[in-house]
Amino acid sequence: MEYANSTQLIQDVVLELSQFPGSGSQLYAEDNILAKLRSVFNSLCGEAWWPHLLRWSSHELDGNTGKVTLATQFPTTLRDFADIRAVHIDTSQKPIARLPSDFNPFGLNGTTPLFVEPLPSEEDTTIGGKYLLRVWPQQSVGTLRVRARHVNPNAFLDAEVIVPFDRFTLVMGACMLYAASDGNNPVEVTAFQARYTDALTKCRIEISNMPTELDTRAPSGVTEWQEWPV
Amino acid sequence: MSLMISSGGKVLGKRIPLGKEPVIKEATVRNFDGGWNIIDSDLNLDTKYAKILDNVERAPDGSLHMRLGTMLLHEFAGVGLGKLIGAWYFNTFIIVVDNEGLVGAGTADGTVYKIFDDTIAAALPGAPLGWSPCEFVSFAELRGELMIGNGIDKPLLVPENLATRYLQDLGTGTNAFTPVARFVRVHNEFVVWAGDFLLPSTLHISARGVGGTYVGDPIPNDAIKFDIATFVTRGSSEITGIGAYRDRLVVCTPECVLMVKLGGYIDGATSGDPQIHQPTVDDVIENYGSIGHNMILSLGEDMLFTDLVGVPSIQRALITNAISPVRESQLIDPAIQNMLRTLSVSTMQTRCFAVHDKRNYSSLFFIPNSDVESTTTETVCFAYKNIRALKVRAWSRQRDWNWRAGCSTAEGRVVLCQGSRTFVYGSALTDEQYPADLIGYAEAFLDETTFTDNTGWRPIATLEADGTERLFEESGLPISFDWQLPWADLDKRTRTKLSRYIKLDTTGTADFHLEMFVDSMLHEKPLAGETFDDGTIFTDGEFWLNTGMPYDPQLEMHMVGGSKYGLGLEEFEDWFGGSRITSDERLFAWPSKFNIFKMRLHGKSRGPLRIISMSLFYHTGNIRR
Repeated sequence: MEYANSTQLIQDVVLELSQFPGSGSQLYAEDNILAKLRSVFNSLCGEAWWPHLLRWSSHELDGNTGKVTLATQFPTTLRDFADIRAVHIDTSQKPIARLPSDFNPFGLNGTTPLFVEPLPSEEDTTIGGKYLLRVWPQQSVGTLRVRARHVNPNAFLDAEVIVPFDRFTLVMGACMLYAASDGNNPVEVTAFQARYTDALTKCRIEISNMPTELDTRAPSGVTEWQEWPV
Repeated sequence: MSLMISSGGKVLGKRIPLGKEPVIKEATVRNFDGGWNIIDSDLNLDTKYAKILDNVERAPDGSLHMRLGTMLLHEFAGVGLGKLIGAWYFNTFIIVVDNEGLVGAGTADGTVYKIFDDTIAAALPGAPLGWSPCEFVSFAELRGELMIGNGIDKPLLVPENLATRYLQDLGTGTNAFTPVARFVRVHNEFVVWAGDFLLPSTLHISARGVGGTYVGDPIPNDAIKFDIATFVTRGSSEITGIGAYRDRLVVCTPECVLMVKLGGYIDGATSGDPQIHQPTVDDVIENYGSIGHNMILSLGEDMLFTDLVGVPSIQRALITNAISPVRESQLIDPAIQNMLRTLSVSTMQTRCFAVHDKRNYSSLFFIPNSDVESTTTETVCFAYKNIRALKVRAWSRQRDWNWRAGCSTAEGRVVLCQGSRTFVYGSALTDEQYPADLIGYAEAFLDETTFTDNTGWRPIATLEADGTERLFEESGLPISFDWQLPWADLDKRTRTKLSRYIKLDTTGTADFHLEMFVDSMLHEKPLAGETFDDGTIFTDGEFWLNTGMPYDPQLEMHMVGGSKYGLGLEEFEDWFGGSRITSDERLFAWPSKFNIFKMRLHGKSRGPLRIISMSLFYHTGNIRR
């Protein structure tokens, strides 16, 4: 994958759409293009557990509320509970289970996390970071290792920050949306859609073809491979 | 249309809610033949007209071009002349008269001479005095000699060798009977004077073919005085100007135009007496008149003049040969009336003037913005482009000038006077397309701005900051221009439209701002200005520094003419690395939603700039917003 910052992405789209080029030249197209790029990016982020977006992070439980401590709360690069791939207890290979919705956790006792659940937004109001999750029992203590999808929140705000997804895929997706909005030539939209689909397929193939651990004695296999309806 | 952003089952924008016809359309404005039009509602006006057309005019090639600038031609202060009040092209010289009654002459290369003052007059036979201070002069030529009258002193005669003297009867060598009058016109072998303060309705007509012989001079003499008062059927009979139209002398009063035929003779009272010149008035046109002699232009098939309502012309009917009036300025009459309403009769007669620009096919009518000369900051020029072969009759308004007099040369150059200087107006010739005003006399700040009254720094710098010599042509003041189209509905008044892209075809190097207004929202709410410290305002409801009603465009973009290179190809400090060049065929996004829209193009820059067309790409939507 080749990455680019938002300025470069916008100029790529401008060129593909045969708009007048130059940074800052398109007073009214650039914001529109940026919105379309962000839309494509957000959609694609949730498409798969893209390995290049996944990070490990460590967090200490506060032993009282089931939340992590203020000092180890989640960074702003982690936007949502849905971006969390797995939560482990320190060196355990087994992810903590998601709290079943019909299970009453208030009867749980002890200091080892058994379940994890998303923290309601009204209880997650700190500035500069987030708690995002709560473990049960709430008196749990220790270290959590969290595997999650991280994205720089300034990716579309700061023109110099890299947008961490394949440049060509993003550009083709934005062009497709822009051309569709123009409504001028259906063939052009179809062409952009075909190029976009091809680019996305290549991205998927990259993670589908990655080496996997075949030793069945390994405690956990690679899970990122998947079936793909080509 | 189904757009799959995500291929894994999640669909973003599966159905794009277009809300518009899936066909992009194009509308192009490329006909500017209508010119400036303020009389019609701009909610129902064809795009060939402009609601505002300041310092932009329909060019002979069909485009709309920023008006040309002016370049310093003569500086008469060095030979003792002051404020120039009249100019005339004569025998390759520009002859000028100043407000002290001094007469000067300037050549095409800028050399100036003083050809008449008290000293020169004193050396004439009889040692007469020179001219008195005056505010008005008029000129006419007969037999290769120029006559000048100011209505205060006896007229002057400028021969080919510029040895200026008083106009006199050649038989007696006296000017005792030469009329003192303001207006002079040569017509059909006669020199005609009018505007005599003592005889305001009388024409002083010279002897045939002789400029200096008038009633009272000895025979042979067929000069006469002809009072037109009895022919005036409406308004004052005071003559306000005389012109010529083909075989008719046109005598104007404030509310009448008289067609006078000269050269008719009747027998004397008794046999053997010489025949008597008997002018006849064969037509009187009511409700048309002239505010001043210098506002009359005789242009062959047309004679244009200005009255209190606007600019009419007289033309000859094709079949009947009858002369009929036409109000040429109908589309802009309110603007002319608005300028004239604050002026006194005296100002209209002395400081309003007209010049015909043969090279640009334009007639220029100049009207000052104040009745007091010292407070006059602008002489607004109403320019009438009349290209008969193309049936183009388009008005425009030329702004930011403050001329006192002007004339046109045999080659068609227009020379305009300001202070003790003359300036030549640009023309389509390659080396005369002056890009700025007052080149050689004033210059702008480094950022190309000027003082708020559109004046600049004087004198101009002759050296650059690094000590190198500065080119004369680099001085001058940038020209403001403003073109505002009528509201347009793209033929679907009630349907929502969604604009997508804008495309301009322009040439030239000027930069400009392109604006689009939507849905009748042209201005912001008036800015109230400041209150007093205690929060109160003036008793008439006004505030301090009420700054009027600024424009409120929906979209605005800064662009440069199509002849620029830009994008790193220009030299430093000249759009290096940037700018939106309108000759680039790629698209400029121009997204907006509207039912009706209006375009405006304005700026303040050095020319040239020529607008060939403007195109809008858009979708037609439905009736709901």
